[in-house]
Amino acid sequence: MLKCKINNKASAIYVILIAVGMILTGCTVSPNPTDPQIDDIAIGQDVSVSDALGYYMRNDLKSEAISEESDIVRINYMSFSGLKSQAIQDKINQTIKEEVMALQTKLEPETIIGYRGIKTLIDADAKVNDLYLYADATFNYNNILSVQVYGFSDIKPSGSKTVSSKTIGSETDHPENVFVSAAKHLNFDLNTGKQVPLKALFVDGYDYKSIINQAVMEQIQQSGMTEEENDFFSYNPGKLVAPFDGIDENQPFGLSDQGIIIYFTETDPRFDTDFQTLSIYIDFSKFEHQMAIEKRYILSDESLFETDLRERVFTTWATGQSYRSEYISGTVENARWSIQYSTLEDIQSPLLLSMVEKKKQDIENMKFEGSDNWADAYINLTTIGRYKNLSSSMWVHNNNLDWSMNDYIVLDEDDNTVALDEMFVSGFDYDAVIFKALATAAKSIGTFTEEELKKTYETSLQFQLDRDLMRFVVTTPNTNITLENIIWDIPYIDFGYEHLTLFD
Amino acid sequence: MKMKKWHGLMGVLVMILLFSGCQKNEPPKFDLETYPKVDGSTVTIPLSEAVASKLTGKSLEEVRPYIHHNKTHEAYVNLINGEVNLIFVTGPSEEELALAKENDVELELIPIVSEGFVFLTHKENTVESLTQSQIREIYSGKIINWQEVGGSDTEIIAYQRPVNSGSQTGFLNMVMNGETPVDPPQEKIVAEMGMLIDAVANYENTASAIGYSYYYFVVDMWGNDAVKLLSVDGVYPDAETITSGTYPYTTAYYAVVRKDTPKDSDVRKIVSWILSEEGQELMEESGYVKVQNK
Repeated sequence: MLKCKINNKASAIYVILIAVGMILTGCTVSPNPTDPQIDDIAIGQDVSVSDALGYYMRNDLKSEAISEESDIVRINYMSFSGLKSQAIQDKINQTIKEEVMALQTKLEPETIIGYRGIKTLIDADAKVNDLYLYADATFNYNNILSVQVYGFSDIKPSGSKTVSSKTIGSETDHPENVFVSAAKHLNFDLNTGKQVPLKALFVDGYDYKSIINQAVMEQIQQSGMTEEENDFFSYNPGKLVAPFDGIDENQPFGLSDQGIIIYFTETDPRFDTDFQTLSIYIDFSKFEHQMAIEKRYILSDESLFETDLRERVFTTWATGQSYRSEYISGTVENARWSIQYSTLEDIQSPLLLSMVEKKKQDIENMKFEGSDNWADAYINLTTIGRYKNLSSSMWVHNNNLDWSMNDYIVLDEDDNTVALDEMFVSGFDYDAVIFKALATAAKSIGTFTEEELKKTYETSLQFQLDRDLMRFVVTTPNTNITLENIIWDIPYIDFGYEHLTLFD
Repeated sequence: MKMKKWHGLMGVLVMILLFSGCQKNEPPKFDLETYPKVDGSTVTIPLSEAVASKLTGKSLEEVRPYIHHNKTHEAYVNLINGEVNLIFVTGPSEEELALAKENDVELELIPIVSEGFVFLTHKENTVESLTQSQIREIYSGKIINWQEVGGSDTEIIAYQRPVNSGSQTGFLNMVMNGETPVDPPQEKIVAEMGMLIDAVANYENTASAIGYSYYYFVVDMWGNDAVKLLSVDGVYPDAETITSGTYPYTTAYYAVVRKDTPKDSDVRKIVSWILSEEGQELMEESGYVKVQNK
């Protein structure tokens, strides 16, 4: 702190005169508002080696939904339990509750959040029609808990005029209400209950700001944020009103299972967002496997939780940009068909396109009878750990009969098909676990003998991988339910991780 | 003796400080309640906020909630309908001029900041300057290789912006002069509902690329050390050449009032102050290019 001692009267007068001079010439010192949470951060341990993020370990937290509802205000948020440290658990729950309540204040007319232009529409006499507050976890792994706090307010301005809106078949007058929302994330280090700073997500020394800036710039361009006009087809999160000169080291952020949500708050002068918080999602894959979240807050082998399951959950790494989907359709004799195929990978992947071709062939080989027939197929290519998962589901309506069929294929890094037994260590009786679960699942479809189930298990079993479970499908053994499938899931943890090879 | 000299010097400094404030054009004074309701385009929001901040003596954060721009067309409509008395916008479209005429309103356009329409290439591109005619020929497909304009033997990828966007309209009006450009590069983009659609490809900074933008958005944008601005007819676009108009593709953002707005009205006082030396300095600090003193 700068200390200034004024040791004579003349000097004091000059100081006063200089201060007056500064005021008269318009010199002001702007406060530099900072988020108080930045002072309460946990930097975790050093992580200098790049982190392939093959899978996460789910935090063994339990959550309880807390709801409050009045005529106008609805509140839903989570309270978490299961941490060994009651003090840290209380601190986290208290912070979440306080942030939810703080958001309520920011969405009420008298204390409304300082969005650009808001005061020209909402004054202190405006009335809230509906106010909704919400908080829930969006990422809950590896001793990090990321909780989104979101609020929405529907406000009727005082003395507001009514506007006419014409909907199909009717024309109504309704008040010109203003819709205001705000969002933020709280990112807790569960070792301390303190906040995780943005830079802690990445390997030490990694230039994450450049990668994020590049991704933000791409989205600014792709969504036409520098253009005043809206592109009808594009998602338009807001307008850039001043050159985007990059993010701050402590830019607000949140985590989702697959990526980072970067926030630009209402105090950011560069964006105009129609009274909502601008958020830009960036897939983890953009960060060149330089993430540190797998290790940063695992400070020892000792669990932070009362129970210690350490359930493993795969990431679904995208080597491409983001979710892509294409749709083709056509007709065959007596039927129309469609195929929608999607992926986080390359939409032109030969694997994906070969499955599209196969489904087209399947449809063309079908014999449709009667009218109003259709066949709709959905194909998906996902990466789970080091494997690729290619699946298709097809629903068919033919001659007043409905049925479905599924194709599951799991491939390795070299695109070779992987057999089920390669998922398990040798000698492990995985059939016993899978068949037992099939018997339970089959009960909801119909009544089958063990022999019937065994036969269909041996002849039609297929599997695919999901983030935290294996999914299985067999065709029903009963010919009365034509080509119906039985689908059931088994969490990886139920096999015992020591029996699985896919996490190696 | 030394103390006396110091006191004397400080006295002079204080007087300079005080008088330098007094000699400037006195800006009109408002508070948040008396500041006129203004409107405008999105690109003039920072300008509008800076002016309101200066003239109310409040910080930008304090005035921001009181400044609402409804975009260019709505701003013109609001001015013509008398909902607002001052807007900060680009020039009016045919539609807006017709609306003004229909309502017996005459618009007065006062340029308050200059703007340039600039062309971008990769920093490694050896071409530094293009003529207006060469630019038109590139965008009409007559010139297809950088070698034809003094560069390396590389195909030209001439990026455009979506139809009806502000910068595409500016491009067609200012650059193409009625000539039809070739079809722009297309790309698949993810639209709502995950649907993949064809769209005008965004500028991708490669050695083959040429694209365009308004100077305001480009000049301080992140990552711009990888791109360079091209001179046009030998004139490099910067604040000086855009202000002076020696750079060929210049335009302006305007303060627009109804012509019958009284001479002593608050909005005219605001416009007059924006055009003062102090006002223009503020425009420059806010990222805009000054208008030329006439």
